[in-house]
Amino acid sequence: MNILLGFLFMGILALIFIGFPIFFFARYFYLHTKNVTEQINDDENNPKNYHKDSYGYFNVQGHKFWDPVQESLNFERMKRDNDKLMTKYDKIKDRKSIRKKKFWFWILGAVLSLYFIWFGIVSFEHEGSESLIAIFFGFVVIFIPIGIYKTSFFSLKKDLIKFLYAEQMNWLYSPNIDYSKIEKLNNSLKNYFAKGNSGNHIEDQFWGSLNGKYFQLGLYQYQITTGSGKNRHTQTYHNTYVAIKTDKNLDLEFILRPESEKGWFKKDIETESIDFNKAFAIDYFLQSDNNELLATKHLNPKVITELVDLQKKYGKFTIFFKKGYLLFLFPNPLIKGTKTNFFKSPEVAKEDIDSINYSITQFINLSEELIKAIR
Amino acid sequence: MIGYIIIAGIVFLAIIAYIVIYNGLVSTKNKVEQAWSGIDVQLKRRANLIPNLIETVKAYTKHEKEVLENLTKARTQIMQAGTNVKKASQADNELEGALKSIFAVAENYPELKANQNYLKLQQELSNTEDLIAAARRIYNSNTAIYNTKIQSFPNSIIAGIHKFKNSDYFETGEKAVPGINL
Repeated sequence: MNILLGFLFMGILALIFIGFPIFFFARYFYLHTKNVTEQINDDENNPKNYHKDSYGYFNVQGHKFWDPVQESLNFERMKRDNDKLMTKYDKIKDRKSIRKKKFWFWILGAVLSLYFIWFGIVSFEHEGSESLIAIFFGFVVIFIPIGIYKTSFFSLKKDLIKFLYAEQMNWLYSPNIDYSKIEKLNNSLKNYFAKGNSGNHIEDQFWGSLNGKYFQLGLYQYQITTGSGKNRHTQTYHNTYVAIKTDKNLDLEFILRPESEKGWFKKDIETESIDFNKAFAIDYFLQSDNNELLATKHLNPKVITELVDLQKKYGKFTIFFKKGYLLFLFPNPLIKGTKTNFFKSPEVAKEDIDSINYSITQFINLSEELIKAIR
Repeated sequence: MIGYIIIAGIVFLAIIAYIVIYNGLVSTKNKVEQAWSGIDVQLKRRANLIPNLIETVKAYTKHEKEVLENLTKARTQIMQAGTNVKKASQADNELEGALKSIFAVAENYPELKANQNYLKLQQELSNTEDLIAAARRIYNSNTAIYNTKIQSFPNSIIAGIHKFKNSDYFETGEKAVPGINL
């Protein structure tokens, strides 16, 4: 009897610590492969896609959008992804279904918990301290199923906040992972989007306009793996990029990057500001003798002070000064913590909407300031 | 023998430290001067816009002689201030005061306010003021770094030997010219 109980005990532990992770990994792998295949099928030559007009805009259903590197927008795919989001959201809105599922996850937790406690008590005489561990684990295990259920809402919640905000602003939003865009960004921006040794992709993309400025925003995610064997360590990084279309074409394309960031091709720039010189290094798209002169012309006192302030506020960011647009690459995600709780209410918290609105408005305003200062 | 080597090592390190600190002070001082010339360029640029502004205002206003005279006087002071930060700072404050008065006076002359040349000058002056404000921030920040450097130990010893003196901050009032969209 005890052997049978032991096997059952080990089986449940194996399910929790090995079975679930394998299931989630397999699911992720399946969705990833499906995604890539779909993207290949939806390539730029797809006649259903929206293509840029002669002014560089996409005209999608009466609204104008812009993108720094893409020549076409797959609106159908975007709509499909958003519909999937809405279907999930509809399920959340159905409070009965949520409560029912929640109840059954609590029951599952309670059953597991009771089993562990019972196992601990029954085998106490034979197993000693191991039984105590089982009893202790019994009190903890009650929260595991409901915890897993709640976690499954985590990324959905973030996507929904962004989607609902985009809809409110008449912008386009795609929660989907985009692998093909990385290559285009790298071609235009000197391989600055090739930071990771795996998992390089763009997701959570917005296309829209604010205060008459057309922008495109996205989350650049990558992973860096160091060491090997037991010392192997993988770290995931989230960067937000914001590209803003400018009316003015600069006579020099250059990159301002954090001085402290490692890299072979950076060059110190000597302006009159000690703070600026400590904070930024410069990199050029094309090497030329009069680069420095032209760059200094653009970096007037107003631009310099603006950039120093921004670095204090947003951390170490990189700016690409390109003909026709500015692109900011920030070392943090657009949304960090959220207040929305779908278990309490199906509505997205006002604080979350305000927070995303604040971030995007800040990005647009700062680029506007920068463009004005460059004049 | 080891004692001599240690002493020689310490002396060598002290010389290196001396050179590094001295060069650091010189380079920071140069940055302060460079930042000052940034302000100076913008101050002169603004001063050069004043005669045009006076001529434009004169054509529309008949009884504002005093305001215009104050402006001319403040402009002359700016031009004469040279590299003296305190004098330039005072003259800049006076010029800003005079500009404020002239823009307040202009409110009473609708024809002047609608004049394209006047509007352009106002915009130019406003942009230049923004640049002066930014250049001033850079200068004051460099000055703070430089002053801290020469006051902190052991830099203060070398600064004392080579007579590095505290640099003055450029202090000024509020923006005088209201920004407009043309």
